[in-house]
Amino acid sequence: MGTLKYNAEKEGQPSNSGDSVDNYFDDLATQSASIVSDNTRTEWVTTKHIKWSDKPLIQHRTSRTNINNTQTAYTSESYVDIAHGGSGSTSQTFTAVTVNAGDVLRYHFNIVAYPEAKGLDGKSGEDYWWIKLQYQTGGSTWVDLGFDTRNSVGTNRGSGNSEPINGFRRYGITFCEIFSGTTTITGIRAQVKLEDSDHTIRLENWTQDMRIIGA
Amino acid sequence: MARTWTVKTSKTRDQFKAEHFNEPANAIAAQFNGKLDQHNMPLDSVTHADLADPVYSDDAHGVDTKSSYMPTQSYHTAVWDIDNTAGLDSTEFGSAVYATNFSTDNWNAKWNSFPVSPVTEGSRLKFNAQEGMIFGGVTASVERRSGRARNQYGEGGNIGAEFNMGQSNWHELGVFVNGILCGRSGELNNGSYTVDIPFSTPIGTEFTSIEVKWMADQLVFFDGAVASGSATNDAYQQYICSGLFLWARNQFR
Amino acid sequence: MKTQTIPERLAGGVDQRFKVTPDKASNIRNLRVEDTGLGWCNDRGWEPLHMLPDNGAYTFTGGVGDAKHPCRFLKVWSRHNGAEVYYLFERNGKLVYQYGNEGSSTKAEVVLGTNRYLPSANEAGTQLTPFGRFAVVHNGHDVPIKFWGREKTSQFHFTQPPNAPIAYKVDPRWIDSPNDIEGGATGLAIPTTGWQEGGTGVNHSSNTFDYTTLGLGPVTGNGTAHYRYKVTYVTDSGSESPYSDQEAVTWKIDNAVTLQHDKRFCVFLGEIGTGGDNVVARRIYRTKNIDLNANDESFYFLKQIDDNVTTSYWDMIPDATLLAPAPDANASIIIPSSFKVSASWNGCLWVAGWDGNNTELRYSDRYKPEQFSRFRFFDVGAKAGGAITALVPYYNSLIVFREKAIEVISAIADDEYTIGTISGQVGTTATNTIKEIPTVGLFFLTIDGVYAMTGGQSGAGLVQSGLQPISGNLHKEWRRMTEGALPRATACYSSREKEYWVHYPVDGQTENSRGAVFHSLTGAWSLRNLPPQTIGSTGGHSMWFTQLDTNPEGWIVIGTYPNYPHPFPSDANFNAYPGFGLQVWSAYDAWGDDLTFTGTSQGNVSYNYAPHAKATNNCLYTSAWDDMGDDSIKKRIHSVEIDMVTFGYNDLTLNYESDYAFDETAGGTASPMLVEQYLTTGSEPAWYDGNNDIKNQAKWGNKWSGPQICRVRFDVHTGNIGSFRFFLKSANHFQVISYQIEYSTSGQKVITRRGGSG
Repeated sequence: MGTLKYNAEKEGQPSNSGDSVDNYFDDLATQSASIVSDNTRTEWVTTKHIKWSDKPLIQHRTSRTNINNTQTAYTSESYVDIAHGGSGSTSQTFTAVTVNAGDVLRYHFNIVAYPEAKGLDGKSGEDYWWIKLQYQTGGSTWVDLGFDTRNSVGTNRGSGNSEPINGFRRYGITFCEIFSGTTTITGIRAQVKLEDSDHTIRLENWTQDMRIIGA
Repeated sequence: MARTWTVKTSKTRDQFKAEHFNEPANAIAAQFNGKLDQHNMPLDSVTHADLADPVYSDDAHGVDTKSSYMPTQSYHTAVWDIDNTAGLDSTEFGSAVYATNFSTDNWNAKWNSFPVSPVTEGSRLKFNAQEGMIFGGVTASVERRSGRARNQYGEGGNIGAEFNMGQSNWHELGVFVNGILCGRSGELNNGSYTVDIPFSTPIGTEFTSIEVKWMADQLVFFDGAVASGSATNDAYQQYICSGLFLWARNQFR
Repeated sequence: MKTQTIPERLAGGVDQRFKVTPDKASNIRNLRVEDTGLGWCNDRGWEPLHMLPDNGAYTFTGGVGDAKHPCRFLKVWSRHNGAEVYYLFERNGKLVYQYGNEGSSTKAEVVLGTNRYLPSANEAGTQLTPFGRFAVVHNGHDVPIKFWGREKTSQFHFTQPPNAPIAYKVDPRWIDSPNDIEGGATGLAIPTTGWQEGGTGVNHSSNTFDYTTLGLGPVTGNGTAHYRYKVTYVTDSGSESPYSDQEAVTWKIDNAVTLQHDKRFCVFLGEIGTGGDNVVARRIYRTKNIDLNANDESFYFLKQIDDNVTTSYWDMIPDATLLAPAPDANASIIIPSSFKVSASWNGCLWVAGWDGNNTELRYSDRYKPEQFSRFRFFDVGAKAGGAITALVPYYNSLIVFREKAIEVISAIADDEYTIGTISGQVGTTATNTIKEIPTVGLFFLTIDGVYAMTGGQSGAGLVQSGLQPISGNLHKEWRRMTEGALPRATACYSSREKEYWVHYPVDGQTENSRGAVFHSLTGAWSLRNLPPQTIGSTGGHSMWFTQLDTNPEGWIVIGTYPNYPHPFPSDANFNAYPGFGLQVWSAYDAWGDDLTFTGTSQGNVSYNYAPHAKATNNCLYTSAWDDMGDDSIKKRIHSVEIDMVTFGYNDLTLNYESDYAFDETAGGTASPMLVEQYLTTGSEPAWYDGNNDIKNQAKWGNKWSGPQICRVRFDVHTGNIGSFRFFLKSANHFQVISYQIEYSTSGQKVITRRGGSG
């Protein structure tokens, strides 16, 4: 496919000999349906040529925000979903989106936390707590993104004398996954766990935003 | 505009000559073969299916780095993902994390790089950028702690009150693109935090190196007796990083 | 009696004078010189630039809108070696370009400006001057803009310099405690002497540096520090604005206060001005410490802030490192933005034509089109000649057109210029008609017709050129021109048609309706116009072309005044002739497409469109009056035989006039083809029309025909006459190459009765 060629008709010669004229118009009809870079000038694409409503660059986008200002306590020493709030859980599933090698999944997560002060009284200096982000493939398998982010309740790791990081704090995470092969993405979620269940992490408002980018 | 308008007209009862085919055919071919431009291609027609597929590559310039090159942009990530829960029972901060101690290690007065091993992964990104902009961020779990000590009045003397050390420690992270500071966290206080620092900068068509560096105030208090409890005296002299994720998006001009 | 035949005569161009060579024509209307075989051919018309839908119907979504307004500006501008081509035009004060293929978008138009000034009849309107990567678009009233392509525009030049920054006061008395200075054993490893002379430190790259290299102020105590600052803008074209006012800051070290000794300070500058959308950076300049005794108040370059956002800066750069002197204050001034004409020549942007100062000509710094030095100007007002009306680069010179004079600027050295005069009598107000015709010269329209500037540069000297009128043969046209509306005249040169086409207003009208064409292949002139029909609420179908330009491939693009001379009719009466959008001069067999109203629905106005058919007298070749050498010798004309290119069975009619009777007589009908083959099987194949009289119908498989010449004879049979001329006019195709006239005469002068009373 590509360039259009024809034989010049010559006076005195039979017209359309060997279907020369017919072939030209057939060729034009065919080639004009499969235009390649040989046919175009450079820089023919402007922003007005891209169909933005088709979301050519972003294949999928989902977000959720919880703003009902209600604190929820988490005390588990193994990962559980961050599921509180008036908008539903951070665990969202959706119709499968196929991604290929080189596509990018980008996940932002912000949350307000209020580590409890009284959890530190005389307790061991085990004051870590973690948040991790995951995505789901194939409708069932959860895969970790990035790394398990680690925060603390107090300022000191020593037992019995740690002072708490009092007050509301916002923690933010952004992870990207660049896929090396084809797979289907069906969900996202954020999870939390504590080092010692004697502490309590109160989590409040949060927002998450995920997009899958393909071009 | 790659268009040709009418080059030849015939009326009914006019003669039909070779040039009635040749001239329009030539005019069409001249435009079609290489001159179709923004005026020929329909607006709102380029959909996702028309854009070339991304090209994936990994570890091109560093361990645990991934890159994706797309028609309009490229993405690059570097991650340091270790088990930051390992060894918490026997060590203060975990056995796999990066912990550096001011009283024993060399700290720069200002910005410090993460060491090549093991933390290179996650703190450095290298790629070939195209002219345009770089947007990106680093998500890092970083920490400093306070320590605890007790006064001792002279050698062998009475042991006095306990006090906290390094309560007002601060630390900071900065993102450098080709040596220029483009994003910084500002001073972070004691404790372990996860910070998400955005950065952006214009860039030319050049080899680009992005690096995350840290900075911390430097405080040493020698002597003093060990405090009760398990708080160490020198916890406040340490800077710890338990995970890094650095990403950059190069939007082409 | 034996007949005589004049020698074969090639059909020449128009010459309206009395005594002309007999091969000339007294009128040629809407023909062109065909570029392969020559001869005059009538195969041109115009069609819409953007195709109308196939089905013969067109709907204006949301109302007819600006389509009823005249096109007041048209320029085809391309970037990137033709990869981007923009058809820029203005209607109703809106500067736009349109995409050729709307696709599924609702709007294929990009608007670059609205509510722009509408030029009056004595103004040339918006001008576009390409300069490197952008084009400057200006009309002397609205803010001039730089158009970078796609949708990006930015302001051109400045309306004011930056405001002076604020330098916050430095007061050494605030150092009244050692704790005010970081130093000592605590802190960031700063030595005990702290930030003062003799102190050293180590930076993050492990380099040792001396603190005395940073900071401002006197080295020894009891000195005064006095610094002045000023700032400039830097634009997206690399040009620098004039300076802001200066801002000063002063402090004094009190020798009696030990803590103040040897301390250097940092000056905080705030409110550093941010500029318009064309500013990409700011530059800060500073003096060195101005001692009270010293005379040196020179400024030096301090810092460039590479954005248009930051408003503050900490200055701790010591005097010793300030080396680059600041540019002179006269190196950049604000010029009024109401210039009406411009040109890009020799790397500079030349501008002129301010209303209050229309004989001054300014030029920018080389490669910095928005930076004008105070002393880079010429003033031609000392010589009579009127206002500057155009600036046109030609060969190695810049031609300065004035209303009644022409000056020329040449470069005598790399960036030095001198001005000379080509003519003190001839000038032009028709700014948009000045075009270069390859191998001939620079053409322009004056009230006396078209002049040509010929010749060029020799070495580095002044232009050796000639200035000559070259259209004296068209005096009947020029006499009709409306002088006051001459700035509305427009012209273009098409490499495809090999024509210079100038279109101008006549008969008191202020809109262009007639044109003259110079055919560069033969040096002949012809006319381009359509006879107006009855004037009423419709009709008046002259060529109301307000703007002409050519695209990179030589197609002539036309801007129109729809429905003139009945402008802005109701939607039902809007037939849009000569076309509601841009048109293209092409081989289309009609004069554009007319609209016929069909209905309105929900604000959308619908029309059918159909080609505006050519009438018989729209394309015409009229020979000159020919008396065969002596008009007092009477002769009878028997026939006119014309060599023309074969076209087919569509008949042509020849009319003729005798002895200035202005009363046409029909002279027979013939088809442009070999008469021996007429309606035989041996004729060239022709399109079938349903009549079976054509014996050789064009069929696939039959042989192609090619261009041929035939001799077509029209029988006239006049009585005894002195002078004769003929008209060949038709809406059917013809191409006239040469002709012969057959006549018979006794050769004797006829004795007639004398005129006069004596």
